[in-house]
Amino acid sequence: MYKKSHKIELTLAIEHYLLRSGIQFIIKQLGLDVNYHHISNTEDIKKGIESDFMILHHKIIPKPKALNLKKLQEFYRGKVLLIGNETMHAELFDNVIYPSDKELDIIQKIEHFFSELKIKEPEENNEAISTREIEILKHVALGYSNKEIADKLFISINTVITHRKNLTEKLGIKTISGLTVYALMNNLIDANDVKP
Amino acid sequence: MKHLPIYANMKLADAIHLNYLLLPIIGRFGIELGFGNKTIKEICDEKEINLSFFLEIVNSYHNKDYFASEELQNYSLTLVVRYLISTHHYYIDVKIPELEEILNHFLENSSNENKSNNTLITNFFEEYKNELINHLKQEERTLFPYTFELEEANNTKIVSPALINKINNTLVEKEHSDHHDLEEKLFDLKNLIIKFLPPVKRKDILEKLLIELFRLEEDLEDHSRIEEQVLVPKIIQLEKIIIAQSV
Repeated sequence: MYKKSHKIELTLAIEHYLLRSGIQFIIKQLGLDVNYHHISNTEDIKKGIESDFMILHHKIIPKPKALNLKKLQEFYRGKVLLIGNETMHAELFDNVIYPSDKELDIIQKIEHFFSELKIKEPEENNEAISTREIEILKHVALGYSNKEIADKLFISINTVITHRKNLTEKLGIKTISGLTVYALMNNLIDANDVKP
Repeated sequence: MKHLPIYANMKLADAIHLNYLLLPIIGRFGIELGFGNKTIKEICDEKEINLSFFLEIVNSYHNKDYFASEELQNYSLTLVVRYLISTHHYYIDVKIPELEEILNHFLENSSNENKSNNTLITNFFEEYKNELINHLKQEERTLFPYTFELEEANNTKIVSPALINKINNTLVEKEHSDHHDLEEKLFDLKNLIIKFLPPVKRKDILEKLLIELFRLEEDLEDHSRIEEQVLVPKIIQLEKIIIAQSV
């Protein structure tokens, strides 16, 4: 369908260019559609609050690290993937990449980090057409205006418009003549009843 | 000259191998197949085609983001309009008859149970076709001559009151909404076939029809892009100059 898939808003809190590019490369390989917000010091971290995900390099956290990491968790509501080291307070986070991680570990951890999002999408696909929508569709196909439909079915014009919008999204058909062909194909209306 | 994916010293045959969708484009420039190993530059010289303009057109077709360079805007409107007109001829004289032939063939080979659905699709195409042809003819009757008038007025500095009247009539605003309506209709036609047409006897013909509709869509998108991103801005620019001078 037309609808663009939801872009992932990701804050990259990594100062080192090589590391940052590496992460972006892996994300690209995974085929994720990401909008990046780059920040390079802790002062800027608060700006990243709007994003859903943050990949955070431990180097960027000032000392005392444990305290500052806890603070971060309090004000940042999205998911965090920490690129840390074993001696750090990594237990604060569910998602941590260690220096000892091998290629496959790293890729799996990044994939897992974004996995919730991937599962979500197909669930939204409730594309069955309701009885009410079929009723609206019939009238649109017969050539009635929004106002006429609203009057006939005793509903508001806004409701008619909402139903039409949903119909167009579900069927992927936008024009009135396209909807008419659909209705005729599915025997929802009789060709002789269509208004010229 | 900056590096282009398709460049002057490339053999035209290689460009076609790179992107076969360029075939109708070179036809519009009057280039026929059988050009051997000649480069694009050699062929353009031979046929008296403006080389830079040719490269801009094929590259913009080859790469949809290409127009960002705005280089096409440096060409005379006459050149652009002449290209657009030859594109119209291609739609009207080649593409549409081709689609109609496929549709007729499709209809003739329908089983009785499919006949009514297939007729619906054919009629929907007819409706789309008429709107498309009307739009193209309308442009040729109004927008294109208007463009020449503007260019003429700008060159001669003679501006008639009738032209000022036309400028105030904002002809160009209709362009975008017309393109949008036509695109929606073509998209619906494709979707009706892909999603909702019950299985037919001759899927091979139906597939051919769909592929041709996709190609037409791509070609029309490119055509609209040239009109909206090259022609219309240029017209608006000329209108402003002429209005400023006539005050």
